[in-house]
Amino acid sequence: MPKKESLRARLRKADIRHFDKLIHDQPKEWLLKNFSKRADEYPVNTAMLMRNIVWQLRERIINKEKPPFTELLRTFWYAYIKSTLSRAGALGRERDQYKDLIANIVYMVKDINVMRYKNIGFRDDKQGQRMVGGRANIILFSEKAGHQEFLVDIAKRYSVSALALGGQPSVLNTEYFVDELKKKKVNLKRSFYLFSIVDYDPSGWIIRDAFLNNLKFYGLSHTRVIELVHPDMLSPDEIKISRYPIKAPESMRLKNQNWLKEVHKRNYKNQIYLEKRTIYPNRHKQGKLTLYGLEAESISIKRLTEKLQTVMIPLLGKSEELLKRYELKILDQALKDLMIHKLTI
Amino acid sequence: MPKKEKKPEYIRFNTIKEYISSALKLRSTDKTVKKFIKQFDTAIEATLKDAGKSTKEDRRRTVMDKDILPALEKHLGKRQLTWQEAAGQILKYPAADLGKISKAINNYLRKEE
Repeated sequence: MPKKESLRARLRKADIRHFDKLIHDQPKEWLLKNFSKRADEYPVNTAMLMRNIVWQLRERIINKEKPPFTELLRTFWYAYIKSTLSRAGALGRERDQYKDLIANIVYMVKDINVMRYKNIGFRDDKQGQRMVGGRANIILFSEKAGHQEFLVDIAKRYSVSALALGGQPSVLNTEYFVDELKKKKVNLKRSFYLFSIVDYDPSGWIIRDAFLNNLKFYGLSHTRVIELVHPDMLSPDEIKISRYPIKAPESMRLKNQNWLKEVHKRNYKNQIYLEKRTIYPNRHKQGKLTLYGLEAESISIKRLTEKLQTVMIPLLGKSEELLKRYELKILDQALKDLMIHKLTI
Repeated sequence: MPKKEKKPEYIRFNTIKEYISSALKLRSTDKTVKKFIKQFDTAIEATLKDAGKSTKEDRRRTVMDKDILPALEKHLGKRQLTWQEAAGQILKYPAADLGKISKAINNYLRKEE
């Protein structure tokens, strides 16, 4: 079995190497000479160029040749990348190359694991949207920044952690959140309970899963998610008022199917109000299935608070051992119910 | 300090990678293949040790079917855990995973209702 790839091998794989000259200061000819390998759409390989600029800045900061950057990723884009791409004749007019930069940094952090955001010191534009409480292992998170006020209120009231993702969760945001947990000496191997306020639709669950994946990458391996937005939080009439049809283009077909499969595992009794099959008279063929979703906002703050009081409060302030005992008692009850079910069928 | 014994590697990394790419026409991550091999290597080692033990207990020098088949069944065959084994396994889980088991049981009961 091969050994874990060395840092040098991982860098080589990503076409990253050391340059003595400052890449972002070099003229077009120099950029073309050094970064035209496997270039297709533009005169230079933009991914390779971006990664090397990022890596060079990291090297200079770590070697104390430069102070940490302490600015936003967007500022880094303007200060280092955009002008260099322009000089190399590689600035796209239609393509969002800022997104490409983010993807390349995520690749360097998560995929090939050669750096961390904090190595450069990037500032997190969502710093104000997260809190680490004294009961740090209880994490309330929302997909939208609109729930921020509610999160802050709950976080302050119960001294728990809270995070408003504000759309697709950023790896940077998660890295800094986990760093704050570490600073507070929270054991990352303990159980973490996550209370999720995301839209009840495929995109909402993709966002939730991406966040969980990021947490796992940074070392939180024992997490349990408790959904706060699902059809059983509403009455059938409320669902009929709040629901909206989920878009089903071909590109979303598989995602929608997977989401439905996951939803069915949970056996929400009101899920029936979120699925509608068109019936064709005189035809044996099954009609088209329309799926409906629920916005996170369809559950009122009052109801979310009530639910948290039932499901979150019993978990507060417990050590891992006490949590385990608490969960074992619940498991005991679940097993008794299962036993009765098996005896009576 | 005694030298730590090196774990034997029964399955070759490249064989698995090549099989996935040429026979299955798929790609695979190194991490996944390593995890797969580790599980199998552990199971093979445990199977061989059990079979060897059975051979020695029978005062033979040749490992035979009657040694290897029960060991294979124990370590690689699909079988149900005894209730003691299941309970032992459950007690090892951290709190968050115990919660997931309760939830799975409750989901099952709701489905059956």
